[in-house]
Amino acid sequence: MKKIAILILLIFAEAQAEQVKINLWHQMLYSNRVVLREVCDAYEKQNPNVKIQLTYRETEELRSNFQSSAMGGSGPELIYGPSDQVGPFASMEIIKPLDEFFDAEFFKQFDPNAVVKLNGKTWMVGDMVGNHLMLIYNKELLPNPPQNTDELIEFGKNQTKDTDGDGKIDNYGLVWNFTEPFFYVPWLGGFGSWFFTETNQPNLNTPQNIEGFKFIKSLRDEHKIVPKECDYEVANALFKSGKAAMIINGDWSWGDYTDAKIDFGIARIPLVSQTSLYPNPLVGTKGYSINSNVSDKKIKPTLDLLRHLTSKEVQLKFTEKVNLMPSNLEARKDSLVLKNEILRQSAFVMEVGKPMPVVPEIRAVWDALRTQYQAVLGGNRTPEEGAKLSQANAEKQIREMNEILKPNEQATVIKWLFPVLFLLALVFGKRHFTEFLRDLKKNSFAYFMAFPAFFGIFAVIVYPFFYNLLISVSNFSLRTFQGWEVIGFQNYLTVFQEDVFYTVLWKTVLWTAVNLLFHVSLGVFLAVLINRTLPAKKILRTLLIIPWAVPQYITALTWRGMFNQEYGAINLALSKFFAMTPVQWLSQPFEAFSACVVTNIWLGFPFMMVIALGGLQSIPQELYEAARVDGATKWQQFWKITLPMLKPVMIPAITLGTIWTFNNINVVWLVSNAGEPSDQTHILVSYVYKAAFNLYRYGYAAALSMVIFLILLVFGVFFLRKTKATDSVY
Amino acid sequence: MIAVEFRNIIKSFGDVHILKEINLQVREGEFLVLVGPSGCGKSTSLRLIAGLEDATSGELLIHGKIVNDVDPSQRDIAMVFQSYALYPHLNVFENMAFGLRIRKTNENEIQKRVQEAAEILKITNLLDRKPKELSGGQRQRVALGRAIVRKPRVFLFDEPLSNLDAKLRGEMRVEIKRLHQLLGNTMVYVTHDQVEAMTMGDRIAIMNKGVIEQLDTPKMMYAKPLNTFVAGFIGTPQMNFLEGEIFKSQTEIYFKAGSFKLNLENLPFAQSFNDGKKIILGVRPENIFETENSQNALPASVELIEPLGSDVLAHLVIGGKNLTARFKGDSNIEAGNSIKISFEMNSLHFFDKETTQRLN
Amino acid sequence: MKIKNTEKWLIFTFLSVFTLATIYPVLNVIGISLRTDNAFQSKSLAFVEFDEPFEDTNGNKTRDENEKFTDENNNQKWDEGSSLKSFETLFTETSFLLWAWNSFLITLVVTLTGVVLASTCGYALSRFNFKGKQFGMVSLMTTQMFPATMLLLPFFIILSKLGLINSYLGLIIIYSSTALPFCIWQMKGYYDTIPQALEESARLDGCSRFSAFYKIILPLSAPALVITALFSFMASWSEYVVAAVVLQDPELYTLPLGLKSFQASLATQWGLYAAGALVVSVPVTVLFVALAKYLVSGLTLGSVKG
Repeated sequence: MKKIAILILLIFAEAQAEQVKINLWHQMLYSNRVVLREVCDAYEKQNPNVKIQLTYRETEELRSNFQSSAMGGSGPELIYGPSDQVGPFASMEIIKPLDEFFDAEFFKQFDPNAVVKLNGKTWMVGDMVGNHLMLIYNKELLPNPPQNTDELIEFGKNQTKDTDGDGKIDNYGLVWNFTEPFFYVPWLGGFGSWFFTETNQPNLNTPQNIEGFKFIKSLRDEHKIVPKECDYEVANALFKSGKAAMIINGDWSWGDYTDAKIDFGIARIPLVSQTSLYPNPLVGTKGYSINSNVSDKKIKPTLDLLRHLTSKEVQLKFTEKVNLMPSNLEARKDSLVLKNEILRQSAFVMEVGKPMPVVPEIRAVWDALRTQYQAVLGGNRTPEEGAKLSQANAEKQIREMNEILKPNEQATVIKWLFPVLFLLALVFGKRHFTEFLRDLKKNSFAYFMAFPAFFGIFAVIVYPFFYNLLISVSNFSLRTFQGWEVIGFQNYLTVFQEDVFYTVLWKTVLWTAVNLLFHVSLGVFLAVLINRTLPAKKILRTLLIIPWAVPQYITALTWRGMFNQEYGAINLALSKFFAMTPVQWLSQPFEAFSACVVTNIWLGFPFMMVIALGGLQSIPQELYEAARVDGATKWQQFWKITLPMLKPVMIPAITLGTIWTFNNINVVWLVSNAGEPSDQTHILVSYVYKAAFNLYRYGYAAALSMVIFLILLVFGVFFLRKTKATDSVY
Repeated sequence: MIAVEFRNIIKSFGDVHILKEINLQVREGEFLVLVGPSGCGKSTSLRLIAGLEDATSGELLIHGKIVNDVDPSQRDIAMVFQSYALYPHLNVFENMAFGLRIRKTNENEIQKRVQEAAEILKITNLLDRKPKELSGGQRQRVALGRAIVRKPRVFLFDEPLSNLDAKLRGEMRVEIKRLHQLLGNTMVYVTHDQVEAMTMGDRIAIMNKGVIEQLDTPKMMYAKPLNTFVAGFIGTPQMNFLEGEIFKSQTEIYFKAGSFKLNLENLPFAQSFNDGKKIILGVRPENIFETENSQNALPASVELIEPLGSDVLAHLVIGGKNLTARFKGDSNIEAGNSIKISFEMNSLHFFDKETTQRLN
Repeated sequence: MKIKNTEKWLIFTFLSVFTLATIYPVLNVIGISLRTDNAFQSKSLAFVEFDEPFEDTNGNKTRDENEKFTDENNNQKWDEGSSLKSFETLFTETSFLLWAWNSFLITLVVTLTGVVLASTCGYALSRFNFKGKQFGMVSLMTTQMFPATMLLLPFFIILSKLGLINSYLGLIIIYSSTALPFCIWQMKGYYDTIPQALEESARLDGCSRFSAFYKIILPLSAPALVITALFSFMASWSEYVVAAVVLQDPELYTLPLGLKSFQASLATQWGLYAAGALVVSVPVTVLFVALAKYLVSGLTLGSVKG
């Protein structure tokens, strides 16, 4: 009996042990996600011991979250994403080379574009190829696509028109997210060069690049066939509503247009007439990589799953449901692929494509190109300067990215400094500590009440803070992800040596000052107005609080939409009520910065208004009566009574507001789309974020954030001292 | 029996000494008033009894037990605060019942005691109201009621009447005194108002800068103030002080301040003063009277008069010194008059100028 | 008197216009959620649109699927008007309700924790002079000064080490603590306005220190507690960045995380997103509206004595 029980237990334990959960993070579009889930469900049915957990993350977040979690020693077993994430991941050694698990035969099944190699090793197996740009045209508006750029301009001009006769253009010939480098570089091929050399160096200071800049500008300014401001959302919306004849977009958008019931055709991006060369869209792959933290126990089922997900059957399923071009060469011969008109056209487009580079340096190139390209489009640089600067900046950023700072003598100092400081703290702290112990007895109740909250706060803040302090004196970056060391104060030196710090600091101060000025003045002004007998006073007050209530990530995006030059509510209202010419809110540095400020003012004034209202209600009415008796005007009453009496309430709010505004990354990031145009709208925090998560300069970012902290600390202490915020009026 | 006792109590905050070695005994059933200017330490003393402050050193005894480490909740003391400290979220009944509920008194008893107290204080019709719906006087009564329902052995009052208008203050003074007679408990009462102190206290302790200047009955306090501080504090209008010195020769002895001169021949104790002794002479306004023809009459000019009905206050200038005198209401002096006055010689107060202590 | 009235109406008109402009962006979100074409942009200022008039050759006014259409501008795309389709999809075809439940649970715990911790800690800071109080007050403020984004990586590492990834516990600890400094500050500010005599009286009435706090001060602090609760609520209800790092299992997703999954890199389902965003905003807005009067009376950062 006992034996049987043990046996059962053993079997049970065995079965338990075999149950594996495999996590897969991906960034698939909604419709693709559905297919993936189906595929995984089927797989789970066949392999009852396997449970697959799918997690969706937006591409950039997928990357940064995977990095963080892999660094923390966890993360999903499998990660699915575009091939360009291989560069950073492989450099950080957070994904495993696949060569040790699969033989050459396995890789041979796939299109070479889908087997992603870097430094002689294979890191990713793609389940599709594509992701390439093409010309998509609305067949109802344009039966045949243009064959070359001359036709493009001609057709475009025919299709760009003002249908309702209000003097504004309603229909455009061509729309696309042209300010984004990914959507620009194909043209470089058309003009006869490429932006990236085979030795992974940027190649941007070329006459072809200058031509390219001029060409895009001419489409917008000379031929006027593209809208003045056109990001992805605008372009997509115009095309989907039949208000644009052509769009340059990728294969991922087909589903969207089918849903919108657009009868569309696809073609190559038109031949550049002067060179007779086709633009070269970047062809990428998306595929699976394996986390380097996968335990030995899980590696086998993980590999099995990877094999399954890249198999011919699964790929064909994606082809059938969402028109993906399979990477599996066998699958390409399947009738599903051959008979698919769209895929056939897409394959035709792909013939002129060039592979998407996977080295991490590509990020630096994108970044440098984006900055200068947008400056050229905004008219703040000549194409020649833009080409030259983008090359120089790309080289510089690559250098910074690959630089491994060496420890200098300061490192030794720091290594000794920490223990010494710790000891000093102990010695000096001893007196405080004994006093504390004595006080603990006397004031035990106070400690009992205060302790839990402080414990929570310190647990969440203190460790990360010191961790950051450590990173800020280290060479933590892309190349040292797994083995960084303390190097000294070089990062701080870099912070203070670079001009950009001072420009961004100046902008941050301006940002904070302007915001606070408006928050407080608008808040107090509204509070004073509303703090009197008015009809519907309560309703007005409540409605005015709404900007505070609705989550920021929602309203910030809405504001971005409202700032669009042609379709945004702001310009529509300005031209309707004030007959103003449209302002290029999002593509000019000053205007974009103003747009961020306006959004943030909108978000922030209700808080100040509420604080001011509370303060107003506590001002004794007799003071006003006394002032009236003394003959003070309304205006004098406001300056001599209201403001001074509000001061003690407003000062702490202003202090907090300043700190919050100084560190408010949301608005800048969402409204200006991460610093656009040309990184001109950054404030310090968004700049830190970019340095850390986009450019992998963790050490530098940590140092910069320490500097931000110190600036605010000095401000806080000084401001509170100066204004004696803790004094009361009475 | 001693209800409350301070033994060498010192209270200081850092370098600031609020109480400097206080020794004080409050007798059982006594109404003791602590009076003094603000900052003299009277409130601190009261809060020490309540247990709301801890003594820096010394011992505090309540009914013979050292209570330095006893929590306020265990001291069986009730206190009426200057601000009344009524619980704003509870109605009058619950405010009064609060202490009993905390002590888990049974419901019948609570009802009975609150009703009793409410009747004594004539607030039975207010029991359902919230504090903010009450007038100042009503709040005061509720605060009293809250104290008496608990039947504590010691009552503490921290300037309870200072937020009331003059008329109500007068009424409540009587009310509290009546209450004391009715209940017979020990009461310690803090005020800065000497009228309250004089009218209410069985005994008065006058405090100044952390020390008790004099502890005595109101009568003695008035008649024999121990020093200039007490003399000046008790009595309205304030006692007149004249700084000067003694002139003594074989034939005469007089007090001289500027051109003001007062013959002291008839005062036996004055004979002991040495020539040139620096003296502060104290004269209460009620001890100055108008005279036609006396040896000791002094010429005075009337600067200003304040008729009070029963009395007239006259501000006089005598030999370059200002004095206030209280005359009968039917006196017909007017401002600008020149009159002659004299002092009730047996009611003069002599203080040493250096020590400010009483000499007679 | 007449002048006063004119002035009143002038102010009222001004405020009304200003308010309208203020809530326009929110109306805009409503408009997007009602749109059927999943687009973010529209070229009119109006936010509710009607179906484009349609009439086929038989005089039939409802358009069948695939029926040909050309408007007076020779535009062959029929503009469908506003509808509640997005909302329908949101509730029937997505895990929205599950996310809402998750968010609710987390928010509830965070709010309770926040209120308990902030009310006790604020009380200690307001009423007692203890060693380290000054340091504590200053450090509360300094916690707000460090750029929060840089704390993410260390957060993640510490949570991984504690095995709190993919669990609500880690998230709850972080959320509760992030709103705390402000809440403590504001509770302290409110307590400062309550006379000490009340607790003293309660203690003479027989209360211990804690019961004086609990029975007398806490009920009186209702407005401030409500504000604290509101801030804690907001800190967790609409937080995205930390949740994205900590939660990986879709079953555990909170509302912002779920919403964000409608938003793919280049093809956002704007209709769903906007509809979801609105539904997410509703509880916060309702709370704000319901608590507007407390906001004014309870938000006492400063030191005005009441």
